[in-house]
Amino acid sequence: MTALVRAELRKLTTTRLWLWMLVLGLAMVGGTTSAAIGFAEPGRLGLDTAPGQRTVFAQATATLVVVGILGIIAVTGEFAHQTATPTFLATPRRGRVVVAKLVTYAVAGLGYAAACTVVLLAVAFPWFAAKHVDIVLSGADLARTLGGVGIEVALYAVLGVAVGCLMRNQIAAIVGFVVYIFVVGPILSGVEATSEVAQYLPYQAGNALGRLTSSVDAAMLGQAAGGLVLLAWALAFATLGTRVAIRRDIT
Amino acid sequence: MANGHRVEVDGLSKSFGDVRAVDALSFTAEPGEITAFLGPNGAGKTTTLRMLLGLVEPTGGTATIGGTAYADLARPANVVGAALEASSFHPGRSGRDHLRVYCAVNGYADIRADEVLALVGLTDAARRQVRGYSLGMRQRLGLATTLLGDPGVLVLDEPANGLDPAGIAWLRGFLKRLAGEGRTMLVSSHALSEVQQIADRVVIIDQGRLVREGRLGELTAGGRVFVATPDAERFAHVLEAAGAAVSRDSGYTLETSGLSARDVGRLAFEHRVELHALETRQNGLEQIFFSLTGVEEQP
Repeated sequence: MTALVRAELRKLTTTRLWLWMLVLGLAMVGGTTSAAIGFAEPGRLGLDTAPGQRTVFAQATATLVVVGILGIIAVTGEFAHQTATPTFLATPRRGRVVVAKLVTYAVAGLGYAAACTVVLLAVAFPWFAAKHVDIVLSGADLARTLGGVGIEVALYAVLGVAVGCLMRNQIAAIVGFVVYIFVVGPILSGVEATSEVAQYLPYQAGNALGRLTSSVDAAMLGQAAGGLVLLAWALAFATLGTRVAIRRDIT
Repeated sequence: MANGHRVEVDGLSKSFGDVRAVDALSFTAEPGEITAFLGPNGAGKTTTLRMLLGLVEPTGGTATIGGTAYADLARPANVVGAALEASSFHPGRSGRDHLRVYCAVNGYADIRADEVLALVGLTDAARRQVRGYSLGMRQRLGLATTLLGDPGVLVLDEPANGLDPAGIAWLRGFLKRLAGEGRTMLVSSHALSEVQQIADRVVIIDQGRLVREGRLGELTAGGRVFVATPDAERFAHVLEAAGAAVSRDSGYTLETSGLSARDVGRLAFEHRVELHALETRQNGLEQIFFSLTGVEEQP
């Protein structure tokens, strides 16, 4: 398995995609952090409140979009470029390939989250200082937020790999994923009728894990519960995706 | 000597919906020989090879390498090298990095990538992105990938596709050398005249079924003898009396089957027939192929 993970890391680092996606992730986090501070309004999510500050420090969560797409491409790209054939020839037990990808991209996700957190902190701390806003979060509170986001991003990498196994069409998989993150997820959480149920869906469970409060009215689990729910989704998708990958004819 | 294994396909079948792509197909490929796997487009060659390699699940039958199914091989790359597509590479990855990925998978030292690149003559292009490779260079890189583990069995699907005449000549020599080292070579192709020059055995399939399997010599044997003589009328009767089938193109040339050139020459001598030409024409593989598969020869 170590050899397979090393091979997957080599696949990831020997094309330029990882670099462009990292640049995109850093830019997104820089943008969302700036927006979260710049457009913050006084109130229950004001910059001087704990939930408001947690939400600012959870903005590295934007990385989950690029990491999810990276995971999708990790699988669908193998079919698009026909490298699935030599990959599965080298490792006929295909489940091992999928597990290696899940591990590799979870690790890569943590790396992306770490890099983006550096940008987040570099934007947030000076900006808070310039606005003369005191940080009300304790060090432990801040660490729980940053750590939660890191795990959230890693789990989204796992979800991306799994979605790539389930959906053969790369464009459809990416569009579907992005639409869920930016449209379907927020709407289901924001609308009162579905908010209760939506807290158990990946989008809001991820927000709970990263401690990002998008709206004070949206139902949201606690951090640990949200983390477990997102983990359950990731494992369910990964299991399903692995089964599909094992049975599929590679033509 | 490389450690070749017997490839055995036994009653292999595959249905895609109602379409029977491969139908109870059986054949073998032996170590030290080049077995040409022939058939028109859509005959089921690629599907058969993919079933042999565990990529496509058979509807029925078995395919084994040295008695073991591909998926059950502990280290498949050490036993079988297979190239099934003209280009199974990421365009943005260099040829060398492509090979190093498979070095990592199989636990080979990275230097092995450079060794196989040298074997196929790609050293100069090693660090260039594959998107800049010609089709011939991609075929060579595919071949290099199969050789990483120095396997005793090679399975190649249409390796001559996209090669120029010099590339084909190179490939022919390369495959012969690999077979000479004791490897089992199973090579699918529709480039019949190229295969005829290097194949030891031939397996011909059509519409998923085996049409003919045998040594190349057996299949092309039993040719015709072509005779040119000013005495064609009389000599035709002589040959027919000796049991040959004779067809007369003109008043000057005869084509006979059922007698060897030696017999025809002796009869001409005995009956004092003046000969201007006496020539054996072997059945070409292409002719056999077309007559067996019913595919019309393109002019």
